[in-house]
Amino acid sequence: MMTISKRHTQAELRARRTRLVTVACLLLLFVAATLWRAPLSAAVWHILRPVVEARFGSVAPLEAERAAARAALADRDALYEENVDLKARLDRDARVERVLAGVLLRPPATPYDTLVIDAGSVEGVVAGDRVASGGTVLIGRVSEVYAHTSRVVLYSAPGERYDALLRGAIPLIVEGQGGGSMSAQAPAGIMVAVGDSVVLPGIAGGFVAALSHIERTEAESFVTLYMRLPVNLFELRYVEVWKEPRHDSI
Amino acid sequence: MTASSRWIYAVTFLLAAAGFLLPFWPLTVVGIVLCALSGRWLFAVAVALLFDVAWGAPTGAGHFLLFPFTALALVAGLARLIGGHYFLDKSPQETL
Repeated sequence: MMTISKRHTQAELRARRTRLVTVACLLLLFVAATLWRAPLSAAVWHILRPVVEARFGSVAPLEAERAAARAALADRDALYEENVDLKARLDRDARVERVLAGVLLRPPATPYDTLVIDAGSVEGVVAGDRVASGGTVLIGRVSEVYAHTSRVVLYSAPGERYDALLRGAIPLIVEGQGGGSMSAQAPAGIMVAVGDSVVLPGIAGGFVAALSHIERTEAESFVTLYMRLPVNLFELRYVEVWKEPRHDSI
Repeated sequence: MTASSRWIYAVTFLLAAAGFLLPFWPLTVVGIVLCALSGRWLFAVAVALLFDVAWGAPTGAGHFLLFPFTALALVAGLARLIGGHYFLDKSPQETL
């Protein structure tokens, strides 16, 4: 009886020791994840990237699509270059260096309004760079950069707030609502209509959204503007990362 | 490790991985919560931490959470502990 009891106690002690060691390891991992989140994320994505590419398609097949997209944007590029040239004649350099990147994960693969793209610090991406879905349609900014991948927070992500201009002139504070939707408040007296464009301020600018709905309430001094990102997030295949404008002398 | 434990670990990990690969992130939440509610909260926390590191901190008001999936796993583990104290079998038949 005493032998059985002793074995039972030893087994209990072993189990308790194992549990304590596991909890200690988890605590260490938690502290490490809090203090060194970016390097750990980089390591995790370094391991996950081949899995994601195997599941959602690798970068190589996207090259053909990229070439087709570049050709389709050729006439838009011509107008854009003319716009940049006109600004340069007024002594403002609005040229933007761009890095093309494939989208590895997009909603609903990611639980928040974020994208994971296949360009990182090696490709010249820096945290804070703006991200466009093609042409001058801006959709978000780079929040975290790893070696060969980056995380992009969309402008429609819940909690995101940024300054924008309605029709290029009326200042707004746009707030993300999730799922590609955004909202803003504007004084009740201004003339505004569905379809009006919202752009980011700055010499390089960038189109963000078009108004999809206007909510007016009588006796209220503000109207609520609702807008959506002009791209289908669930089918986004590639994006352009806008580098900071160059400051070369003309 | 009992056979039922192996099944629970395997099924919940597969659910979480399926949520990543499908892609359908609520499936990952289901896998983590099921694992924690079945009593294997340590494994649930480890898997949740992995996904939190991969997906990053949430945006907006949830940003202060930092590790939302890990918090969810801990809450589910706590719910199992408290709920089990009141609702689960109080006369286990394993002891002689």
